[in-house]
Amino acid sequence: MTNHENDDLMRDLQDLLGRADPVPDAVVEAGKAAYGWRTIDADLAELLADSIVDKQPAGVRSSGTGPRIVTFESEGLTIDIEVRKERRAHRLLGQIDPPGSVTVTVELDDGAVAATTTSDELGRFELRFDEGARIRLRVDAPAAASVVSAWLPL
Amino acid sequence: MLETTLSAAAAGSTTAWDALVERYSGLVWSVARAHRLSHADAADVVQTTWLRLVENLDRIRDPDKVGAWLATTARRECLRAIRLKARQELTGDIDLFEEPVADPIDEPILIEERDGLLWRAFRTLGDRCQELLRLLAAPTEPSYEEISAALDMPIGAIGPTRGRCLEQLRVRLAGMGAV
Repeated sequence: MTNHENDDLMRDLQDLLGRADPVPDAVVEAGKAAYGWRTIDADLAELLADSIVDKQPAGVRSSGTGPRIVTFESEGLTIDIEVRKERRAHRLLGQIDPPGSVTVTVELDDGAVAATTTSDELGRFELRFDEGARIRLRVDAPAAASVVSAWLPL
Repeated sequence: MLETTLSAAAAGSTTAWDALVERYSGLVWSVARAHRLSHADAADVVQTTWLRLVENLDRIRDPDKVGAWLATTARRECLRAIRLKARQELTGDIDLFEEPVADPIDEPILIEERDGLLWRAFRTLGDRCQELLRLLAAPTEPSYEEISAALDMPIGAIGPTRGRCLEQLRVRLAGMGAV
């Protein structure tokens, strides 16, 4: 066994995979188009927690079918949502903090608006929309900068 | 050079953004395929990864590490995609006729016999070996730092694991009658 032989085998494998599984052109083009989503007129609420990927705290049984809880956070705003799937639709139950009445919009990555609603005075809201692969939330309040969340695959 | 590309993209240059996508698509795609995602799921993960970079263009502290940042982000999105899929299966909310996740490469593409043998031998390797070799074989030849980020593997373990995996691959190939 020599390094030289290993390098030859590695090259064969690289050649094989390069021919059999190249990056599809459409994937590269979509990546370029992603730049169109650059948002400079709103603050980003980062994806802080997602119960389907984060480790459960000790003592909490991880349930594959329990509700999915997701938290987004910007400097001035926290958005908690519970994501439920109902047949071919999604249902989001959410709450913003600090609480208040704001407009919450679900945006899809094809540019469409899937749903929009107004939260109640406690900051609670509910949204229903048809299946989409990836969404983000936009929060518009009268006296504050708009906030958009990070993208969330559903 | 990367620093100027990244800051140009952050400043609004689509040319600079396109250059980043061209340069790193191979890496991000390989991370997704190393996690054995189907074609469609891999494409989704790659797109989510680019959207995350778009969101964070102003926040990447070390431009030299944008590759490692992308690899880490892609790995996280792979885990999310895998969990989402598992969840859909648990709740029965999945189309039974959807393409299977398991086999990422269409065998018919492998026309030459040597290709077919190499592919089949590769597929008998353990998951960790397949993941590592798949990434090492990425067209853009990722750095060990990027591979470490993509697989959550210590940099010091990559070289020895590579050697061990290639050795196994050679033994399997020999066992299948390849010279």
